[in-house]
Amino acid sequence: MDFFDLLLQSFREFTWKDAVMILIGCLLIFLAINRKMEPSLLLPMGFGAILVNLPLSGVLNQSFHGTEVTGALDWLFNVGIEAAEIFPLLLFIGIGAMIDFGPLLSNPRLIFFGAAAQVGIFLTIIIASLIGFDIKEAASIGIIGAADGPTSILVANVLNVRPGIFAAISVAAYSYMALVPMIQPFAIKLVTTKKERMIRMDYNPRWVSKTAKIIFPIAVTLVAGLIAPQSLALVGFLMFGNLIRECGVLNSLSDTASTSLVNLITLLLGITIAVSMKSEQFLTLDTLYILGLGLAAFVLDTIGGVLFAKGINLFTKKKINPMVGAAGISAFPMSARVVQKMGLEADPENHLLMHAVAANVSGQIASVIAGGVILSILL
Amino acid sequence: MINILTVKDSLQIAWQGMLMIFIAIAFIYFVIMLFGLFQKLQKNKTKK
Repeated sequence: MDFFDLLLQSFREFTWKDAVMILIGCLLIFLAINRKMEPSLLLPMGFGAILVNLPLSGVLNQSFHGTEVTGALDWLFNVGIEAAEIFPLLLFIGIGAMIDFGPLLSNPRLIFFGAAAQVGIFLTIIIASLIGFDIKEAASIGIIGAADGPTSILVANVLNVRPGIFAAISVAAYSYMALVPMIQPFAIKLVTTKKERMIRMDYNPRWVSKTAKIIFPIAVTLVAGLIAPQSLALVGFLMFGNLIRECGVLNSLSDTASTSLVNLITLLLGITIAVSMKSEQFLTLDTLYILGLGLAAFVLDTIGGVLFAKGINLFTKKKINPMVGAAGISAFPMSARVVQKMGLEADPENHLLMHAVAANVSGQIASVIAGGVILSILL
Repeated sequence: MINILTVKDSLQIAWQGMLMIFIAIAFIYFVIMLFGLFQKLQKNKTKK
């Protein structure tokens, strides 16, 4: 190869689609830094999108005159996501170590809102199949409604969807989680009146013992594992992290899991997902559909949770503020804060935070069960 | 292009999925209530 060929080889391979993807990468970085939207994921994803869309990129596997060269990001993707989805699962240990199920255990009836708020996942699966996606792709798109990045990544990877769809699902899941403070108020106001938003709820928590908090993650693992065995990876790792936190004898491991482990895996996960953000796979009409369907999933989850609460109110004397149903999505703690804020807007003395937190943590459990249920049905 | 079989599958996944989630959550609720009852009995026992 002569000197000018060597100098210009990348420029010759550079297409307008690569330029668009690099701009999208820059946009994700802008949103992360300037708008502070999930910076821990969007910034690495944005930078990774730049890395993988530069022609002949050294971070991807390349073939040069019969010689195969392994790229670092392709290797990370194969090991961390494709092989056994270990990155999202390790992240779940850290997430489990950060969750306090106390508010849920002291007010257990709110656990059902977590279940109700997963309805958006399944409605989106139906809509996606109507648009023309095959069932596995529709399920992978619907799981965006779990409002949980690791669950979405794990399910999409296990179902072996096309790389372009995988990237769009990841971007949608994390972007919409960051947009919960904008999406949920809109959806809640669609289906509630101001009078309903003003409903006050007493907070009379039951006492929760340390033993209960230790037994809870074990019990959840057993139940979820028996009903949906495919959910064991997700539920098991989440509850393992929680058990480390609650046992009281592994404080250093709990601290490591909830800080260093989460930070390390988040750092690697974001940049690794970007491997699927290559221009020829990402810049398709399907990406636009997925972004739209992901938004629909979040809205339908919120509406589902609210309508469930309103349905319960038909049969109970002590009314539940229907906004608490919206907190049943897994976007913790943003969703609980949204409900608290909207409650105070409707009535400055109406504090819904602890009820919303209980529903929110139950959403964490229900969303991972939903992921496992989908895998159980489809595999 | 819409594949009727896919839409049929998605409806099946929807009702089966939601039912399984509710059953799992109901079981977990039952475990929480059972444990709460057990703790109450223990507390009453120690009071006596």
